[in-house]
Amino acid sequence: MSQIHLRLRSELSAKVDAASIRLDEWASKSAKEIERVSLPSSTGSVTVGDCFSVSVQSGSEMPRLVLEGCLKSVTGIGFQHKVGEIVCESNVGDYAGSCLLGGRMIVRGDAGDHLGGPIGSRGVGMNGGQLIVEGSAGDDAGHRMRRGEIWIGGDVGDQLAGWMVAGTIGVKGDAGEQIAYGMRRGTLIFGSRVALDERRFSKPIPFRSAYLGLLERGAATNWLHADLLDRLEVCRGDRNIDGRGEVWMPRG
Amino acid sequence: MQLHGVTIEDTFAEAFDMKATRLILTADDRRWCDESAAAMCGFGTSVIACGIETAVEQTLSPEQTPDGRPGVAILAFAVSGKELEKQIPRRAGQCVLTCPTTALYAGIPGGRDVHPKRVPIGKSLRYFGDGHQISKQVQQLDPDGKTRPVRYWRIPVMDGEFVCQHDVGRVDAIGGGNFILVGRSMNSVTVACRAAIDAMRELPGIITPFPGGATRSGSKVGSKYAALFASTNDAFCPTLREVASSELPAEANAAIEIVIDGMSFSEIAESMRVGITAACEAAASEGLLRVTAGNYGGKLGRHHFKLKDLFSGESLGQPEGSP
Repeated sequence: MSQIHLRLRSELSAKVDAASIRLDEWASKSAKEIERVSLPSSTGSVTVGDCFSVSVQSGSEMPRLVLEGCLKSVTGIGFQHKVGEIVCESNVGDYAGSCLLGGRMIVRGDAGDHLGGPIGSRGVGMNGGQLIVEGSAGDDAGHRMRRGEIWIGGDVGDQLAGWMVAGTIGVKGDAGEQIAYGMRRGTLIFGSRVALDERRFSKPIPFRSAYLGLLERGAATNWLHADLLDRLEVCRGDRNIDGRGEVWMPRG
Repeated sequence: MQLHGVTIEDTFAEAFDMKATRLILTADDRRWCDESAAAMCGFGTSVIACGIETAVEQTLSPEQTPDGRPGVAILAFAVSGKELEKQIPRRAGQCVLTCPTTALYAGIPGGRDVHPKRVPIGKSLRYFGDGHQISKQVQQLDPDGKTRPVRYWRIPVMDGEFVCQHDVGRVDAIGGGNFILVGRSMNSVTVACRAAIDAMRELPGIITPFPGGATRSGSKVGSKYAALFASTNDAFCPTLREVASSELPAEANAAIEIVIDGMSFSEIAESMRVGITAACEAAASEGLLRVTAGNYGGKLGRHHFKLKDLFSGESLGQPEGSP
């Protein structure tokens, strides 16, 4: 398997759409072939080689793509990613991890809006895998999520987990307005208390489960420690649509 | 051959193919865990009448369990995969789901791509949740870069939630490894048996499913009664020494058998070596006369554990394809 490094040549002046980057397809390509792949941008089409210096190393146990440089203007990184690991060493733009299917994507900075959400008219957002953001994320994170895990180490914007079908989202910091609107199933885990719409979510009740021990052991994040897990409460909803989702947060 | 002055007979233990699985049972504290495990493994001594042979394999510390709580590993053996698939959900439903604070996990690592034949646990028990059960998949990224999620069920119960893994793989295994302790008195074989079982208790990959690890009702294949396929091993019954063909020496007045089920041939062989050595060390001076084994002339199974080979370091004659 190969490990691919994309290093941003200089700050991007236009938005670049990286949704056509497919690690599973790129794993068998040479650096030259990757450089020739074209990416849509707001000022016309560019190639990967125009924006990034590309290097490929073989011998990696799993396919791996490492992106370096500020990627705030790059949207759709990790779209439908399914095998291996994508690591973004800095901030990323909107639609990061959109419709993720498997594998893992790590953002060592902040993410824009629509983290893991569907692009365009797609009815399903993230559908498997792990999406880890060490910083904060923007609005509409986890929209229409069906499977998989999203872990956000900072804060998150408005409309988190809108129309969530299932899966797990963890947020260490604060969350914006309108949390889990239309949530059907799935789990939201907060590291600090959040305000939920009382018409849509049940009152919090103390929560204990052996599953918390599993989560503490296996979680892809380090903020789910016993101090937090031992004092969780759970709210259920969205009751407006007979949803059975659950929101965990620490007791006040 | 003599071991600590005890005769090791030149014979072999005859064992047969079985299907097996391993479960990890945890609870908030050791007492709930042990009580649930005792119920789960109760009446699991012999496939002759119990459906499965099952017992605690090892005690697990919180660091060794998936959820960080005290636990045990339980091994279960059946003559067919179908029987295992029937018995495990029944026992889990009645003995683990019912016991406060417990959770049940797969003890055979690997998903459907590694072990395509699976024994249902949460897959069956989830319906107890009456629609309130929650399925959670924990994403697991394997070294090849593929995500293989592990599915758990969270079933609401009166102390909170019963957590149970969806299913567990089943593997080929061996049942019926054995050795027979022959002594001058009941006390001599009791001392020998307890020393053997204590030494074998923490060995991985094996169980001794009978009460205290041993049985006095060792059986032979077949019976004069057509309905029975096993009956008392009259060759080792001291009261029949003068009336039937006997394998007991004149001074022997008691014999008990230690039966071992194991995940592999080598694990059973090692456990027999450890058990026999401990028995001879402890009971040679108490009147343990000899150690022999139950073989049925090849009628029972293809796995033969030659007692002498256990101590010679030679190949144990493991048949091709043995687990």
